[in-house]
Amino acid sequence: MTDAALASPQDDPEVRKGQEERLEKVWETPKGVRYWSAVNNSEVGIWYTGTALFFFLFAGVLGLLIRAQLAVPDNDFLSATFYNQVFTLHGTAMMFLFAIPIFEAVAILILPEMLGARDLPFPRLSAFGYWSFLLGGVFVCGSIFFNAAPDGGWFMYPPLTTDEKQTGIGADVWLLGLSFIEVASIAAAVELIVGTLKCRPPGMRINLMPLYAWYVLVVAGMILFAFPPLIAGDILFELERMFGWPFFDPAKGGDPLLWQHLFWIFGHPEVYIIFLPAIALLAMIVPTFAQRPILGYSWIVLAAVGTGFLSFGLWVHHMFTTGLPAISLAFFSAASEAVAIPTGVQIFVFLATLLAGRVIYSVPMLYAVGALAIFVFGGLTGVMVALAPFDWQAHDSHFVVAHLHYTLIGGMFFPLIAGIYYYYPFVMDRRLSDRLGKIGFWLLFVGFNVTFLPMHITGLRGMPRRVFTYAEGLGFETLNMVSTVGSFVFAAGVLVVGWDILRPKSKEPYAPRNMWNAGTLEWLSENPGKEWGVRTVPVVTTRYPLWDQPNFMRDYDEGRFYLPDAEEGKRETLITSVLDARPIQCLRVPGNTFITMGAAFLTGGAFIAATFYAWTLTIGFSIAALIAILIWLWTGTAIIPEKKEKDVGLGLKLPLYVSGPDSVGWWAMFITMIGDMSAFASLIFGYFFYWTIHASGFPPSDAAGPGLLWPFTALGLTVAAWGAMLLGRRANAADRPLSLRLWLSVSGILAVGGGAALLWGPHTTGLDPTSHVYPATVWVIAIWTAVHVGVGVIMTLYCLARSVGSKLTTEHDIDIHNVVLFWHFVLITMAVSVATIALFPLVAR
Amino acid sequence: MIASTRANLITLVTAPTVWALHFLVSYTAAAGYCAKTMADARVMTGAAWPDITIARLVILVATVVAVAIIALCTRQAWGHWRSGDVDPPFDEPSFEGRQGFLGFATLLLCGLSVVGVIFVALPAVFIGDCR
Repeated sequence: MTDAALASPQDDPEVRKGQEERLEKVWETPKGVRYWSAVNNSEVGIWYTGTALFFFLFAGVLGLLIRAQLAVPDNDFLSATFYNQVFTLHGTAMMFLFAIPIFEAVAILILPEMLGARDLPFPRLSAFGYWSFLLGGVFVCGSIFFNAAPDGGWFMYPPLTTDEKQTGIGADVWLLGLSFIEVASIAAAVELIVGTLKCRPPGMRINLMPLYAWYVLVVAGMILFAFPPLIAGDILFELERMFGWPFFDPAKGGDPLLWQHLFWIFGHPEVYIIFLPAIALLAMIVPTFAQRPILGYSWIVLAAVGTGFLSFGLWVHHMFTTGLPAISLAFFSAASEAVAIPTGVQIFVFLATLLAGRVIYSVPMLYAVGALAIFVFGGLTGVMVALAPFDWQAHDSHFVVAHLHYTLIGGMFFPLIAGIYYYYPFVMDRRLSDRLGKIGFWLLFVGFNVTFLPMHITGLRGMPRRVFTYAEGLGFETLNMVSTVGSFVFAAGVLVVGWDILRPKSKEPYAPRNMWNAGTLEWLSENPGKEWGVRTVPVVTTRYPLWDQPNFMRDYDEGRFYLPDAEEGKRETLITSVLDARPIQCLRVPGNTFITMGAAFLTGGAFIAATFYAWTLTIGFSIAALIAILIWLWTGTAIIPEKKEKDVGLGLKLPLYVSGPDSVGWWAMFITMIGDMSAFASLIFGYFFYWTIHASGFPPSDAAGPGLLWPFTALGLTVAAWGAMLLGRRANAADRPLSLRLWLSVSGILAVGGGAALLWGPHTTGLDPTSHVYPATVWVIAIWTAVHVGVGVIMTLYCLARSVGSKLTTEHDIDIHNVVLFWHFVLITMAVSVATIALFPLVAR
Repeated sequence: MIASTRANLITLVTAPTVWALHFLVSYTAAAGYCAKTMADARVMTGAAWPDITIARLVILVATVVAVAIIALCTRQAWGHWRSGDVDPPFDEPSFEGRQGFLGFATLLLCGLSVVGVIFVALPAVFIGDCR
């Protein structure tokens, strides 16, 4: 091979055939039971998408139950309590089990090939995320069959939901089941950010990136800042439900509004986390069917980034009726109006592109146009409810239900169906039916508007949301009946589209290659698709290489770019630099395994056992999950390659092993810790929130703890442990393994002392977390920090074991770099904790 | 990192980050001040709504600082945009193409951010107490 590589080996068809056979073998999908051990993006992406669509159907049936119940006044089709479960689970499943996961699913499915990569950098992490999602979703949805579903509304406001007499185990199912899924979402976000930044094909500079990738980058970044506050809220919530820590109990100094803040700091960005990826699909579809490049690429980037930021300044518009001061409401009202600017820009860019091109009318375009029409309407009612005085009238009425369905179905569902019709040939090799697509569209479009347009009036006439029935003579009867009829028409549309997706197509011909004549890389894929993902990692010099780069497809098919072979029988893809996509590494990506599924199920087991307060089982599952994750890390990460570099083609040699900021693992750790920091910041926000609402006395005058001595001891020991890690890293760089092991041991011992000292402070000063919100808040911050120290110690010991096992050496030092990075964040966490719980009381009044 | 002769992803998000910080300062100043000064049972006592002049001054200063920083970002982005002498749609596979694109996108974000800052500052112009 080496000799051939120097000449022009790709000229020889025999050489190409050998390469293709090797690639086929390396990337082969396992057969039989082992099929479920697959981690490759194409399998995981399909499972993920299929599962999310299944949850959509499930939640859709719940929606129909709601409409059936409301069809006539004084209906007794559903009981009041069951109705509560139905609407709660409808919202919960649509949001958490369909709308958000489908973004991750579709991105995992199409992003790698759009970027000319064979896979994302952490395929096993994607698989872990999928199995977590599946288990968590089945658990949450399954609860309704045991009459145990959550019933407090999808945003779970306390004090209703902290009252165990009024809400049974359903609230725990919601909190723990969804927390588990949120962790999986953050894992996917890390994967997608690193994938977008580091796995682009050589030459695809940041100004040439497909717009879809820009949206993925923005949305994954938003997940890092939006989901952790909810996880922090979930922690507070469960501590109150399980152990009586009174975070939301006003009798003991708590405040239910804190939950609303934390929920909506998540909940509003989440709307855009749902909306932007769907619009991203339109940003791929519109240029294809206008047969011209997008007009205003930079403007789309402005819109995506701008919306991403502004969406974090909107959350209180869900809380306009909570009695906050007018000036607070006004800030959020202003930001809610401002977000209409970038949102509008995207729509105008699409319209301009269509006007400037020669539009091909097709089924995906039909759905795209329907999406824009519905979404614009929903956006306009959004501008209305962003005005506080209007919202005071419309709040919690069916007007809001109509508004949110217009934005979500127009902004997310229709674009998604457009995307399914567009990308189906890419994923499944055959095409969907134009005829069924059109019938489905009109049923969906008409059914949707018939359902939700009258609902605005229903709401303005005063019908509140979430009531299980209404009396005759209030003027609601006809409107509700019309909505119900519309909802079943809509459901018929879903059935038509669903049938089109699922109907057997094995007798139909394969779709032609690049059947829409698109310009982006994913359409290089052949039908039937090859399991290698991409034949060769191409060199890109334009935004639409299939349109603009001469002989591109032929060169690609003949493997004339990078990595045309898999000589060593390993799965490989290219890692490139962030801004200019210069090749920097040939990354070996891990292959199929059951360990990720095992780790996900064991982690899920811990969450599920905790729902039933089965503590022994919880601890057992947690330990088993930790062991599974350690085995996964030990056997599947930072693998030492058999040689230093590899010829990747076109005369380029790249290293197989890089560490520190050059490595994808370091980036993943850094990005994960950004998310971790935002959860921690939410807890700290909680502390200061309580300080502001207690007009005098936070900490209360009778609270003695946690004092200064123990928190500062903890800080001192943690600084020392961190310093020892730095010395260990230096010793490793100087090739002194014994010294490395010594420093790691010292660091571990100091850190254990640091974590223990932090917990000892509130304990020894007698802070009882059930007595008042102050001790509860101090405890939760201390425990959060101590757990991080504990995780740091496990990582330190892991490095020690890797060093002893000769897997961590001077040359192969990924582990120590990543663990030291984690310790930087532990140090920040500890310092902020100590400053908050020990120093702030000295100046608080 | 923020002041740079080369546009990058950090310079791209500087202006909206300034918007976010300005938002945070404005909201915290007003909401925190009102929460802290309003006695728990103000409605019962019928006392006057607390005046928020202090918070308004904080917001004024924050607004001036934010607009100033965004102005600097704008000047820098203008330089990046103009440096390579490239025209839209900035799709050249070169440093200039990248620089022009990032400069122009940053310029647009500066515009959006300054509008956002002014929007968010406006309530403090019109509202003078904690009602």
